[in-house]
Amino acid sequence: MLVEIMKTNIKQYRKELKMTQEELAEAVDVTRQTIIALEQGRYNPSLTLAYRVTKALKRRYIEDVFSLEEID
Amino acid sequence: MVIAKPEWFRKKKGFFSFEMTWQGAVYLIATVSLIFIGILLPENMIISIIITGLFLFLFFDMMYASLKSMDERAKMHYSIAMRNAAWGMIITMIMFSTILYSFNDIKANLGVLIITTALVGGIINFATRYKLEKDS
Repeated sequence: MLVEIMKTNIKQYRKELKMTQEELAEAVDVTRQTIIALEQGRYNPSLTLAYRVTKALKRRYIEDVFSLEEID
Repeated sequence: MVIAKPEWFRKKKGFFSFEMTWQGAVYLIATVSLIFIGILLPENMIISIIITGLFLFLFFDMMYASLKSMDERAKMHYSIAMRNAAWGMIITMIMFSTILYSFNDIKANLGVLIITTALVGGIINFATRYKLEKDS
């Protein structure tokens, strides 16, 4: 049975920008716990939050940051 | 929000931490004080109604402002926790009422019923939000 999981590159892009989780959280107006949950793929953000995170990480497309993968 | 503002009750940094400005603290103290004022004042129907009405107004205003300050994940956790708490409270009320009714004792123990139901709701709310926070 195939299961969909959300994969993110948030940590990678955040480190490239030398941003802490707290700074990213402040930039997108969420808690640090939410950023941690996003980085670990334990939380699927709304479209609005996904756009805000993408913008804060200075990426052009949401797909650069978030991707949906199917695993067996 | 009529009086309370979301910025008075800022989003949490951790599960057990809660940032509150001095305005939020004053608002919370004022709301809680009404409970003690209601207990200490002599029994009077009109005063009880006024105090209860004021307490409910401040309480729900504060809750709404706190909700506004939550991010989407916290709101989702809060919604799930409130749903679980509501079910727990309904079951507690039914069970407790049935037991009290069988002993013809509902009226005398109405206060106990209300407090027990509220406690059960609070415990379930806390436990659900703690588990959701731990899981994510």
